[in-house]
Amino acid sequence: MPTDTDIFESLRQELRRGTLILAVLAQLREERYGYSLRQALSSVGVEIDEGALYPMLRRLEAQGLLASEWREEDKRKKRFYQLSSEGRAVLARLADEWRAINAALEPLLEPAPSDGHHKG
Amino acid sequence: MSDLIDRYLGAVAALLPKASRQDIVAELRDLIVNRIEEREATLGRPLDKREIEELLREIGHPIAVAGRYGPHMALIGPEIYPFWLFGVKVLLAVAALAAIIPAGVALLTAYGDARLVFRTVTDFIPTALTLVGAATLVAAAIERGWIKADGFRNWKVSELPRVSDSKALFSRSRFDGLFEVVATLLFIGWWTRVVEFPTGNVITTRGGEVALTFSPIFQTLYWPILAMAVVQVVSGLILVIKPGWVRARAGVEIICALIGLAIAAALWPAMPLVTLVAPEATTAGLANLQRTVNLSLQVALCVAIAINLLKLIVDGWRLVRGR
Repeated sequence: MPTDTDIFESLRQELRRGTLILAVLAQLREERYGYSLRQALSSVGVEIDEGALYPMLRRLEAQGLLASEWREEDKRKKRFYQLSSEGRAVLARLADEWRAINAALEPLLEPAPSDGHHKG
Repeated sequence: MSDLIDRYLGAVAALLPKASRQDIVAELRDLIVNRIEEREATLGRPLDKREIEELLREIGHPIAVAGRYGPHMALIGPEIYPFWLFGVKVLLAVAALAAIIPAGVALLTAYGDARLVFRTVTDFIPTALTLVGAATLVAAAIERGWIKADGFRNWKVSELPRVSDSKALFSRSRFDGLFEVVATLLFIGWWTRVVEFPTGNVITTRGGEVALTFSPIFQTLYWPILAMAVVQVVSGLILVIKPGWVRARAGVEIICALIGLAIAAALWPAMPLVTLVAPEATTAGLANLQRTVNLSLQVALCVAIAINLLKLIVDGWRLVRGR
């Protein structure tokens, strides 16, 4: 039987899944390669497993939201990713969506007023 | 160090699609080297073989890593899954009934022959696995759009079963309908000689074997009896698939009851319907058994007539009311 921790962890993962794509797209307004992207995300408090990040980058590229090219840096060939023009448009729409969800949820998540409403 | 990385990347590469293999492996290699460099910078020394092995383990099993690059599609997705699960339950019930009904007949007619029952029950396992496998293939094909299944979206509330008092007279559940379909299909198989009757025409009793000879009236009534069984299957299928079609089912049940009454009327004057032959039995014993069987069949025929008359009334009422 799942414990409270398991349930919380599974719900947390579910909640994070969509927001990670948003974070990745936002960070790729600037050109980055996989490893530097993960570090950039980590520096702003968004931790992402590389095992999930690299396939995600490829999916986003296949969807036309990212463009990539191989270039040499520090004597090693690296694949650099950046938002495509379509990716910029999608990011703008997703950001609006995120703000709307946030604005709707924030009042709901306020602590409930104290027992004042309870009857006798 | 590079041998371990090469082995790891080789295992991943073998599972990747050819077109993107080189690209993905190069990127993974870069990721691994970056990680190693980061860890070495933290420790201030090169990693040993054991530490590199641990780092590669952290990245994940080659099958899992390669799998993340594949198409993200479940065999059966969350939209289709409940339908698959429901279908599997129904198919398992069909397989169970198809095994239990002949086993029950064998138990009643093959006194002491446990092998027959065992064989029938073990038939359930391959049948069930085949049906579940077939259901899974169909659901996976629907998931991939190879089979169009708009029925999942174009359903109507009015076709759902009514909420009724379960104790109502002649009230039938979907499971009853399913039982009816399977049992009647088995009967049709036996009647048309497609399926062999579990014990042939011989019943094993405590006193030895008794061979049954059926009256020629059954040959005369071959087609009407087959027709009644087919109509009964149609009625059961309506109950299982479209339980909201109350009027259609009532109409089919009325046809079935009318055929049943006509068959009963033809059978009554043709008694005895079954003649028993038992070489090991005494004449008096056999005559006694024959009398008992005749009486039982007469009673059964009376009960069948009463049930069919009652069905005419109940289903006639349902046909008028539509519920």
